[in-house]
Amino acid sequence: MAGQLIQVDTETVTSAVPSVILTGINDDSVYMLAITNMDSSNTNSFSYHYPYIRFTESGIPNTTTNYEFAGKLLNSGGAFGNIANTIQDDIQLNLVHVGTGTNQTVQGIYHIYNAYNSSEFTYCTIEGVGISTSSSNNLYGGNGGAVLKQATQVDGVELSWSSSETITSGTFTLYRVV
Amino acid sequence: MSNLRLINETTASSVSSVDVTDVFSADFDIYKISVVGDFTNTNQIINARFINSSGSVVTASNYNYAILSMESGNLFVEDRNQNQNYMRRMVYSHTGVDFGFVLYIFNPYSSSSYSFLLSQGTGAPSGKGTSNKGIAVLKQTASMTGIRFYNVDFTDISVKCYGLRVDS
Repeated sequence: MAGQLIQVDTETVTSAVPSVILTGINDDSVYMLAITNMDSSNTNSFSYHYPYIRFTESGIPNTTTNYEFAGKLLNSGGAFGNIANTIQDDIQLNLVHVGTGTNQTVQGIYHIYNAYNSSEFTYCTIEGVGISTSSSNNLYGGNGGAVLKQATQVDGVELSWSSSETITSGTFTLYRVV
Repeated sequence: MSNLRLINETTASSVSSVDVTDVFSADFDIYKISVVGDFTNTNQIINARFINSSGSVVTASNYNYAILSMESGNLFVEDRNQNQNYMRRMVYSHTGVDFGFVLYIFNPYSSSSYSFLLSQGTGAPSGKGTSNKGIAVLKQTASMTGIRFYNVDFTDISVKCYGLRVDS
Protein backbone atom coordinates (compact mmCIF):
# COMPACT_ATOMS: atom_id res chain seq x y z
CA MET A 1 0.00 0.00 0.00
CA ALA A 2 1.44 3.34 -1.03
CA GLY A 3 2.11 5.95 1.61
CA GLN A 4 3.65 3.71 4.21
CA LEU A 5 6.63 4.78 6.28
CA ILE A 6 9.48 2.44 7.11
CA GLN A 7 11.85 3.64 9.81
CA VAL A 8 15.49 3.50 8.74
CA ASP A 9 17.17 5.36 11.60
CA THR A 10 16.30 7.28 14.73
CA GLU A 11 17.98 9.03 17.63
CA THR A 12 16.44 10.45 20.77
CA VAL A 13 18.74 12.90 22.50
CA THR A 14 18.53 13.09 26.27
CA SER A 15 22.03 14.39 27.02
CA ALA A 16 24.05 16.91 25.08
CA VAL A 17 25.62 15.93 21.75
CA PRO A 18 27.33 18.17 19.18
CA SER A 19 25.13 16.90 16.36
CA VAL A 20 22.87 14.06 15.30
CA ILE A 21 23.64 11.95 12.26
CA LEU A 22 21.01 9.65 10.78
CA THR A 23 21.93 7.29 7.97
CA GLY A 24 20.27 4.45 6.10
CA ILE A 25 19.34 6.03 2.79
CA ASN A 26 20.21 3.19 0.47
CA ASP A 27 17.85 3.35 -2.49
CA ASP A 28 16.03 5.78 -4.77
CA SER A 29 12.94 6.05 -2.58
CA VAL A 30 11.65 9.32 -1.18
CA TYR A 31 12.70 9.69 2.46
CA MET A 32 11.03 11.67 5.22
CA LEU A 33 12.76 13.22 8.21
CA ALA A 34 10.59 13.94 11.26
CA ILE A 35 11.86 16.11 14.10
CA THR A 36 10.25 17.01 17.38
CA ASN A 37 11.41 18.92 20.46
CA MET A 38 14.88 19.81 19.15
CA ASP A 39 16.47 22.01 21.81
CA SER A 40 19.93 23.29 22.67
CA SER A 41 22.26 24.13 25.52
CA ASN A 42 21.54 27.83 25.04
CA THR A 43 18.96 28.88 27.64
CA ASN A 44 19.09 32.63 27.10
CA SER A 45 15.43 33.64 27.09
CA PHE A 46 15.99 36.58 24.78
CA SER A 47 18.35 35.12 22.21
CA TYR A 48 17.85 33.00 19.13
CA HIS A 49 19.68 30.48 16.99
CA TYR A 50 19.36 28.49 13.79
CA PRO A 51 18.93 24.75 13.42
CA TYR A 52 20.87 23.34 10.48
CA ILE A 53 20.79 20.27 8.27
CA ARG A 54 23.50 18.88 6.04
CA PHE A 55 23.46 15.74 3.93
CA THR A 56 25.97 12.98 4.58
CA GLU A 57 28.02 10.80 2.27
CA SER A 58 29.11 7.52 3.82
CA GLY A 59 28.04 9.04 7.11
CA ILE A 60 30.26 12.12 6.73
CA PRO A 61 28.57 15.54 6.49
CA ASN A 62 29.00 17.31 3.17
CA THR A 63 30.39 20.74 4.14
CA THR A 64 30.81 22.18 0.66
CA THR A 65 29.09 25.43 -0.25
CA ASN A 66 26.76 23.71 -2.70
CA TYR A 67 23.56 24.17 -0.71
CA GLU A 68 20.74 26.52 -1.67
CA PHE A 69 17.38 27.11 -0.05
CA ALA A 70 14.32 29.32 -0.41
CA GLY A 71 10.89 29.58 1.10
CA LYS A 72 8.29 31.56 2.95
CA LEU A 73 8.60 32.68 6.55
CA LEU A 74 5.28 32.32 8.39
CA ASN A 75 4.97 34.62 11.40
CA SER A 76 2.00 34.86 13.76
CA GLY A 77 2.97 38.36 14.85
CA GLY A 78 4.10 40.17 11.71
CA ALA A 79 4.36 40.24 7.95
CA PHE A 80 5.47 37.07 6.23
CA GLY A 81 8.83 37.18 4.51
CA ASN A 82 10.81 35.50 1.78
CA ILE A 83 13.94 33.55 2.69
CA ALA A 84 16.52 32.74 0.01
CA ASN A 85 20.20 31.87 0.05
CA THR A 86 22.77 30.42 -2.33
CA ILE A 87 26.33 29.17 -1.89
CA GLN A 88 25.71 27.91 1.63
CA ASP A 89 27.55 25.19 3.51
CA ASP A 90 24.33 24.03 5.20
CA ILE A 91 20.57 24.50 5.09
CA GLN A 92 18.62 26.49 7.65
CA LEU A 93 16.37 23.68 8.80
CA ASN A 94 13.28 25.81 9.35
CA LEU A 95 14.41 28.63 7.05
CA VAL A 96 14.23 30.85 10.12
CA HIS A 97 15.60 31.09 13.62
CA VAL A 98 13.95 29.91 16.80
CA GLY A 99 14.26 31.30 20.29
CA THR A 100 16.52 29.79 22.91
CA GLY A 101 14.10 29.97 25.83
CA THR A 102 11.87 27.36 27.39
CA ASN A 103 9.55 25.53 24.96
CA GLN A 104 11.19 27.26 22.00
CA THR A 105 11.96 24.00 20.28
CA VAL A 106 12.00 22.88 16.66
CA GLN A 107 9.55 20.52 14.99
CA GLY A 108 9.20 19.70 11.35
CA ILE A 109 8.66 17.34 8.44
CA TYR A 110 11.20 17.24 5.61
CA HIS A 111 10.93 15.10 2.47
CA ILE A 112 14.17 14.16 0.70
CA TYR A 113 14.42 13.33 -3.00
CA ASN A 114 17.08 11.77 -5.28
CA ALA A 115 19.48 11.43 -2.36
CA TYR A 116 20.96 8.04 -3.21
CA ASN A 117 21.20 8.70 -6.95
CA SER A 118 24.82 9.69 -7.54
CA SER A 119 23.99 11.35 -10.84
CA GLU A 120 21.35 13.71 -9.45
CA PHE A 121 21.20 16.65 -7.07
CA THR A 122 19.58 15.98 -3.67
CA TYR A 123 16.44 17.96 -2.92
CA CYS A 124 14.34 18.39 0.19
CA THR A 125 11.11 20.13 1.11
CA ILE A 126 10.89 22.05 4.36
CA GLU A 127 7.92 22.39 6.68
CA GLY A 128 9.05 23.51 10.11
CA VAL A 129 7.67 25.32 13.11
CA GLY A 130 9.02 26.89 16.30
CA ILE A 131 8.81 30.02 18.40
CA SER A 132 10.95 33.10 18.10
CA THR A 133 12.69 34.89 20.96
CA SER A 134 10.91 35.50 24.23
CA SER A 135 10.86 39.22 23.53
CA SER A 136 8.28 38.68 20.79
CA ASN A 137 7.21 35.10 21.42
CA ASN A 138 5.84 34.89 17.89
CA LEU A 139 5.13 31.59 16.25
CA TYR A 140 7.64 31.16 13.43
CA GLY A 141 7.72 28.61 10.65
CA GLY A 142 9.27 27.97 7.28
CA ASN A 143 7.72 26.47 4.18
CA GLY A 144 10.04 25.92 1.27
CA GLY A 145 12.74 23.76 -0.18
CA ALA A 146 16.45 23.23 -0.52
CA VAL A 147 18.96 21.53 -2.77
CA LEU A 148 22.46 20.14 -2.57
CA LYS A 149 23.70 21.08 -6.03
CA GLN A 150 26.13 18.24 -6.23
CA ALA A 151 25.63 14.95 -8.05
CA THR A 152 26.67 12.69 -5.22
CA GLN A 153 25.38 9.68 -3.33
CA VAL A 154 23.78 10.87 -0.08
CA ASP A 155 23.13 8.32 2.65
CA GLY A 156 21.79 10.45 5.49
CA VAL A 157 21.52 13.77 7.30
CA GLU A 158 23.29 15.69 10.03
CA LEU A 159 21.34 18.00 12.36
CA SER A 160 23.04 20.69 14.41
CA TRP A 161 22.71 24.18 15.88
CA SER A 162 24.44 27.41 14.97
CA SER A 163 27.27 28.75 17.10
CA SER A 164 28.51 25.28 18.04
CA GLU A 165 25.75 24.79 20.58
CA THR A 166 25.00 21.25 21.58
CA ILE A 167 21.71 19.46 21.02
CA THR A 168 20.25 18.69 24.43
CA SER A 169 16.94 17.11 23.45
CA GLY A 170 14.90 15.99 20.51
CA THR A 171 13.72 12.97 18.60
CA PHE A 172 15.01 12.66 15.06
CA THR A 173 13.66 9.91 12.81
CA LEU A 174 14.35 9.07 9.19
CA TYR A 175 11.69 7.09 7.30
CA ARG A 176 11.60 5.57 3.83
CA VAL A 177 8.35 6.40 2.03
CA VAL A 178 7.06 3.31 0.23
CA MET B 1 5.03 -3.13 9.16
CA SER B 2 4.52 0.51 8.40
CA ASN B 3 5.58 3.04 11.02
CA LEU B 4 2.56 5.11 9.97
CA ARG B 5 -0.08 3.58 12.23
CA LEU B 6 -3.77 4.24 11.70
CA ILE B 7 -5.18 5.09 15.13
CA ASN B 8 -8.71 6.18 14.37
CA GLU B 9 -11.10 6.93 11.54
CA THR B 10 -14.01 9.23 12.26
CA THR B 11 -16.81 9.88 9.80
CA ALA B 12 -19.87 12.05 10.22
CA SER B 13 -22.71 13.57 8.22
CA SER B 14 -24.87 16.66 8.75
CA VAL B 15 -22.94 17.99 11.75
CA SER B 16 -21.56 21.41 12.64
CA SER B 17 -18.43 20.11 14.36
CA VAL B 18 -16.44 16.92 14.60
CA ASP B 19 -14.55 15.80 17.67
CA VAL B 20 -11.75 13.30 17.20
CA THR B 21 -11.21 12.05 20.72
CA ASP B 22 -8.76 9.81 22.57
CA VAL B 23 -6.30 9.62 19.69
CA PHE B 24 -3.21 11.30 21.17
CA SER B 25 -1.32 9.20 23.68
CA ALA B 26 2.13 8.42 25.00
CA ASP B 27 2.60 5.98 22.12
CA PHE B 28 3.46 8.71 19.59
CA ASP B 29 4.99 12.19 19.55
CA ILE B 30 3.94 13.09 15.99
CA TYR B 31 0.54 12.56 14.38
CA LYS B 32 -0.67 12.89 10.81
CA ILE B 33 -4.33 13.72 10.33
CA SER B 34 -5.93 13.64 6.88
CA VAL B 35 -9.39 15.09 6.37
CA VAL B 36 -11.75 15.16 3.39
CA GLY B 37 -15.36 16.26 3.17
CA ASP B 38 -17.91 18.79 2.06
CA PHE B 39 -20.02 21.48 3.73
CA THR B 40 -23.07 23.61 3.01
CA ASN B 41 -21.62 27.07 3.70
CA THR B 42 -20.69 29.78 1.24
CA ASN B 43 -16.95 30.47 1.12
CA GLN B 44 -16.10 29.39 4.63
CA ILE B 45 -13.04 28.26 6.57
CA ILE B 46 -12.67 25.30 8.91
CA ASN B 47 -11.06 26.02 12.29
CA ALA B 48 -9.75 23.71 14.99
CA ARG B 49 -9.26 23.46 18.73
CA PHE B 50 -7.53 20.85 20.81
CA ILE B 51 -9.36 18.66 23.31
CA ASN B 52 -7.56 18.14 26.61
CA SER B 53 -7.16 15.01 28.69
CA SER B 54 -10.28 15.90 30.68
CA GLY B 55 -12.28 15.80 27.48
CA SER B 56 -12.78 19.57 27.37
CA VAL B 57 -12.34 21.62 24.23
CA VAL B 58 -9.55 24.14 24.88
CA THR B 59 -10.93 27.64 24.37
CA ALA B 60 -8.27 29.58 26.27
CA SER B 61 -6.60 32.38 24.34
CA ASN B 62 -3.32 30.54 24.04
CA TYR B 63 -3.28 29.77 20.32
CA ASN B 64 -1.03 31.46 17.77
CA TYR B 65 -1.33 30.79 14.05
CA ALA B 66 0.07 31.89 10.70
CA ILE B 67 -1.30 30.69 7.37
CA LEU B 68 -0.51 31.64 3.81
CA SER B 69 -3.59 31.26 1.59
CA MET B 70 -2.88 31.01 -2.13
CA GLU B 71 -5.71 31.44 -4.62
CA SER B 72 -5.63 30.59 -8.31
CA GLY B 73 -7.00 34.06 -9.02
CA ASN B 74 -3.63 35.41 -7.82
CA LEU B 75 -4.81 36.43 -4.38
CA PHE B 76 -2.35 35.68 -1.58
CA VAL B 77 -3.53 36.25 1.98
CA GLU B 78 -1.42 36.28 5.15
CA ASP B 79 -3.77 35.07 7.86
CA ARG B 80 -2.07 35.45 11.24
CA ASN B 81 -2.86 36.21 14.85
CA GLN B 82 -1.76 35.60 18.41
CA ASN B 83 -3.40 34.81 21.74
CA GLN B 84 -6.53 33.53 20.07
CA ASN B 85 -8.96 30.89 21.32
CA TYR B 86 -8.74 28.72 18.20
CA MET B 87 -6.52 27.66 15.32
CA ARG B 88 -7.73 29.20 12.10
CA ARG B 89 -8.08 28.10 8.49
CA MET B 90 -7.33 24.41 8.24
CA VAL B 91 -8.85 24.89 4.79
CA TYR B 92 -10.98 27.41 2.89
CA SER B 93 -13.69 26.13 0.54
CA HIS B 94 -17.29 26.39 -0.57
CA THR B 95 -20.53 24.42 -0.51
CA GLY B 96 -20.67 21.46 -2.81
CA VAL B 97 -17.06 21.53 -4.03
CA ASP B 98 -15.42 19.47 -1.30
CA PHE B 99 -12.15 20.09 0.53
CA GLY B 100 -9.12 18.26 1.83
CA PHE B 101 -6.38 19.00 4.31
CA VAL B 102 -3.51 17.31 6.10
CA LEU B 103 -2.09 18.17 9.50
CA TYR B 104 1.03 17.14 11.34
CA ILE B 105 0.71 17.60 15.10
CA PHE B 106 3.71 17.53 17.42
CA ASN B 107 3.81 16.71 21.15
CA PRO B 108 0.06 17.01 21.85
CA TYR B 109 0.08 14.47 24.64
CA SER B 110 3.16 15.85 26.37
CA SER B 111 2.47 17.84 29.51
CA SER B 112 5.88 19.51 29.31
CA SER B 113 5.81 20.80 25.72
CA TYR B 114 3.62 23.06 23.64
CA SER B 115 1.44 21.42 20.98
CA PHE B 116 2.55 22.47 17.49
CA LEU B 117 0.72 22.00 14.21
CA LEU B 118 1.61 22.10 10.50
CA SER B 119 -1.29 22.39 8.05
CA GLN B 120 -1.84 22.27 4.33
CA GLY B 121 -5.20 22.23 2.64
CA THR B 122 -7.02 22.83 -0.60
CA GLY B 123 -10.54 23.89 -1.54
CA ALA B 124 -12.39 26.07 -4.04
CA PRO B 125 -14.03 29.18 -2.54
CA SER B 126 -15.63 31.53 -5.07
CA GLY B 127 -14.95 28.96 -7.76
CA LYS B 128 -11.20 29.44 -7.46
CA GLY B 129 -8.81 26.70 -6.46
CA THR B 130 -7.24 27.78 -3.19
CA SER B 131 -4.54 26.14 -1.13
CA ASN B 132 -3.09 27.03 2.23
CA LYS B 133 0.07 26.26 4.17
CA GLY B 134 0.12 27.09 7.83
CA ILE B 135 1.45 26.66 11.34
CA ALA B 136 -0.14 26.90 14.77
CA VAL B 137 0.67 26.35 18.40
CA LEU B 138 -1.21 25.88 21.62
CA LYS B 139 1.02 27.55 24.20
CA GLN B 140 0.02 25.34 27.08
CA THR B 141 2.14 22.65 28.69
CA ALA B 142 -0.85 20.38 29.10
CA SER B 143 -1.81 17.00 27.75
CA MET B 144 -4.10 16.98 24.71
CA THR B 145 -5.92 13.84 23.61
CA GLY B 146 -7.99 15.00 20.66
CA ILE B 147 -8.98 17.75 18.26
CA ARG B 148 -12.20 19.46 17.15
CA PHE B 149 -12.94 20.73 13.64
CA TYR B 150 -15.74 23.29 13.39
CA ASN B 151 -17.08 26.55 11.95
CA VAL B 152 -19.03 24.99 9.06
CA ASP B 153 -22.04 22.75 8.56
CA PHE B 154 -20.50 19.55 7.33
CA THR B 155 -22.42 17.53 4.78
CA ASP B 156 -19.89 14.74 5.15
CA ILE B 157 -16.49 14.53 6.76
CA SER B 158 -13.90 11.76 7.08
CA VAL B 159 -10.96 12.13 9.44
CA LYS B 160 -8.10 9.64 9.58
CA CYS B 161 -5.60 9.95 12.40
CA TYR B 162 -2.20 8.26 12.16
CA GLY B 163 0.69 8.06 14.60
CA LEU B 164 4.30 8.18 13.42
CA ARG B 165 5.78 5.25 15.28
CA VAL B 166 9.38 5.47 16.47
CA ASP B 167 11.02 2.14 17.25
CA SER B 168 14.03 2.63 19.49
